[in-house]
Amino acid sequence: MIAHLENEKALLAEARAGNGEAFATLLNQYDRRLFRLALNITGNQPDAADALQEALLKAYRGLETFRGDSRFYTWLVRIVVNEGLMNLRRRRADSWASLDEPTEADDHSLMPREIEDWGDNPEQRYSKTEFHAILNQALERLEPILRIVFLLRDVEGLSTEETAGTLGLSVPAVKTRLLRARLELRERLTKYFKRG
Amino acid sequence: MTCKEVIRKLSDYLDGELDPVLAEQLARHLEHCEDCGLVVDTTQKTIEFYCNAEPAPLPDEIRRQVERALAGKRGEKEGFVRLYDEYAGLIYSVALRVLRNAAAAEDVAQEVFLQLWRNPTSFDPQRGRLAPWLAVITRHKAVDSLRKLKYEAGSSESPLADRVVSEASVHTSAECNRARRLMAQLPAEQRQVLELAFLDGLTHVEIAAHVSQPLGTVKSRIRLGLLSLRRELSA
Repeated sequence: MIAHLENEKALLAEARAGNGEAFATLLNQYDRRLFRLALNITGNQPDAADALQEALLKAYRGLETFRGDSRFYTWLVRIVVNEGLMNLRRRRADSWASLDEPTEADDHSLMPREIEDWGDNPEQRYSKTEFHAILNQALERLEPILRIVFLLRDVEGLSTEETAGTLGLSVPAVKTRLLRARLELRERLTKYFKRG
Repeated sequence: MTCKEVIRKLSDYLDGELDPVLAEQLARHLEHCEDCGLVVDTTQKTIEFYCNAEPAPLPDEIRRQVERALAGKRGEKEGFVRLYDEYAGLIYSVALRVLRNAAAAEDVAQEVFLQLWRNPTSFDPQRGRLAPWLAVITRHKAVDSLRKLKYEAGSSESPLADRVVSEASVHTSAECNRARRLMAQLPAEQRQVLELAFLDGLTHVEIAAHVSQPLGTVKSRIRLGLLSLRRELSA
């Protein structure tokens, strides 16, 4: 890991100095994850591709402004999220509200409805393709802001504070959205993974 | 602890961010509440499934689209970096002369480069060489920023300040900083004519016109200023 970070530092310095190859190498290890993120935000491939492209161009141009006080990956994630959200908002002017404010959840609606044992390795009852389709479908059905918070925290591994900073939300707001997202996903997955 | 409270604290519990006393209470609740135990277990699995899912490879077509777009910017970026190396010192020193504050001057220098980067066509090569043009827009921005800023004397320890050193062909950056400090200590009328002479490159006659003083006065101010600088530097 340390070696990896040292290597990244060296590549960054090269890329800053204008070496395009170094920038491409830096991206190689992240582009799949970044594309998946863009795809999960925008909801379709062409828009995700546009958002990713725009984000990477911005990152390349703005490398000088990367201050190195966050991880390079976190910095890229923030740019991709911003582009993805902009894309989403352009297309769905009506979804402003749902992006910023999820519909209120009271304690009652948080309470689990399906409580079943999944057993060990429930994923083995499905083919790899089926398994991923199940995960994706459950994720797609979350409200956008819940989905994005979940992606940043649990999939991309950003801290609560980093997620709050990226989305312009308060830390408690991130926490309540994350809890709702996790519980709603759990609920949907239970249909597929419960035993028997 | 009630089941409702367990659910509310579930995220913090799973992330290990729950207060130890509460975590202990929650764990005790799980020992005899099977339902909550199942919810904790399946939520944990949910997170793991998503966290461990491998991202699919980028579709070829999209990889090509992104690579093409980036390749198109490479030349631009490299050119920009060259430009930066070549002119950062000039821009910084122009801004510093107006602002007399290293941090503020650096901000202005950044702004000038950003403007050039975002809108490279704002420079019209037909109208003249790049250096004087950059000097003009820098001075303009610096004056703007001076109006906004409360004047504050600052240190000049910054990467950009070092570039000025080589420009002024002073031997070491420490020496340059010292010279700049000494300049600041000179009587204002001496400092002004020295700057006009050595930084702006005005002739003595032009300086005399600029400060509305007889030529002889200008010359003696320059001589006195230089003498005291030399005396201090060799001290």
